[in-house]
Amino acid sequence: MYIVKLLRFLKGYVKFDAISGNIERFINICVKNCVSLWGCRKEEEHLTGFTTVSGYKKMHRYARRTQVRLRVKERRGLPFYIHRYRKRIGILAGALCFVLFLGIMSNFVWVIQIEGNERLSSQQLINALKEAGVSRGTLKSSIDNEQVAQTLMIKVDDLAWISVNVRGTTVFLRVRERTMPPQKIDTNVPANVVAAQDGQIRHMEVYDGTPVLKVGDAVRKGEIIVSGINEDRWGLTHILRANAKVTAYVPQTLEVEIPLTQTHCSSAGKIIKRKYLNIFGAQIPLFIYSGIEEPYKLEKREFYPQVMGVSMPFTVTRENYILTVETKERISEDTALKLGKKQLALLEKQKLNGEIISFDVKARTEEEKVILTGEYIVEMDIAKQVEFSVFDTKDEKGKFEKSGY
Amino acid sequence: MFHKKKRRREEEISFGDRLSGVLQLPVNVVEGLPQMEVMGNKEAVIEGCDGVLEYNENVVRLSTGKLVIKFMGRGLILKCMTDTGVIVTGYITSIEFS
Repeated sequence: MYIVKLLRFLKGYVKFDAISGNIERFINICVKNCVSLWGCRKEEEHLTGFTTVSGYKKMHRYARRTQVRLRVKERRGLPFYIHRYRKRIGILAGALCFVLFLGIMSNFVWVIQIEGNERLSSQQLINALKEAGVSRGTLKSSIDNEQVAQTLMIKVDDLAWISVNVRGTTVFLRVRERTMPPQKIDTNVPANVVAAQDGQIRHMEVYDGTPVLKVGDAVRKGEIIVSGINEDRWGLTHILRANAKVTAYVPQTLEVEIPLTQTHCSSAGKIIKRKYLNIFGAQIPLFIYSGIEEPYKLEKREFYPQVMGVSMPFTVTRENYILTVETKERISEDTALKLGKKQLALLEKQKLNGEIISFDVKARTEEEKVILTGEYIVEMDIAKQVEFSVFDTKDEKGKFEKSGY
Repeated sequence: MFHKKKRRREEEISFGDRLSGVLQLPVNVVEGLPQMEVMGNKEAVIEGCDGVLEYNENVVRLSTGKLVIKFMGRGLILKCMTDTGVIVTGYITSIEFS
């Protein structure tokens, strides 16, 4: 029914009023002569109804024949609208521009939709896609789906399968991630277990190899703890890959400097906002330029604007320049000490890998600075496998024997 | 007496009826009767209409060749008219055939 209404609107139709005369005969003649009539309603002597534009033109002669007086009450539909606004060139130009804009913009990629990624981030895939020549605003006809898929397979290691499809103005990227094989350890390559740090051995679990040191021994960095060369009871030498877990008390030192004169940046209460429109590689400023006095703190955000849930193929960059005022303040040594302890605690979490057995923090003041030095004993795994190469000298020995030496 | 009864029964059952019965065809196709579809008392679609005999907001009388169908009601509207069919809408109170 809506299609019929749309077609009638596109072709245009007329609401007419027929008065007096032989209405029934008028209707019959119209219908027999293929004049479409609908919505006919009779009130007293008036018959109102709708007909097509061409139908109304035909109706006049039938009205005369049946002595019916015919009048137009309303003209509806697109042809009448166009006729009404025929002199307003702006509307026509605007409509043409709109159609042109739609036509042109439908040739570009507006949205990139990624499905199937779990470990890989969408941003990572979008970046790879951009390097392969597909991004928002790319001309659709320039995209070779198979080539883009191949390029992505080469660029992104973790992909097992990928498909690139362009539907409408959306690029659908479907991926399957690769299940990575475990790291292969070549057990045929001999290795020693050496110390990764200086320390005192507290515990040893030797899985393969001959222990050179024992629990309680001091060890220096790079020293062999478990050897990969094993000698059996018959005096034969076996070369193997030594493996062990060695925990040791390792001394560590951390240092923090707190200047007694602190510089603070506080907001001056003025924010300058700037916006840029990024479209097809060009950045168009949406403001009138004026200089910004330093110092300031810059907050930058780039986003895709959305219209009715559909993101546009261009981005808007929003920059907020928060003007700040620098103030210098001298703090007491106690306050500096407190600050230093907090920083030291943060540093401990970042740098010390293991359980802290004991620690000693010393503070001293030097050149307007409070320096905190923390000395720690940390229990940690210091075992490190270091491979070594073995040369077989048997062939060379044979050569010497043959030559008579 | 018996012959009279038989003839009267034959007059009541027309040739078209008998033909449609034998060939299993719809009666309206064989006899050229109009086809009418009534949706409650709100709308009636009549196929095979020859013309409008009378029309006002309370009465619509349609010619369908062999029959004249009369719709009575309130606010009757000829919703759509083509050379073969009419749609009558409104509050239909009765339909008469003559």
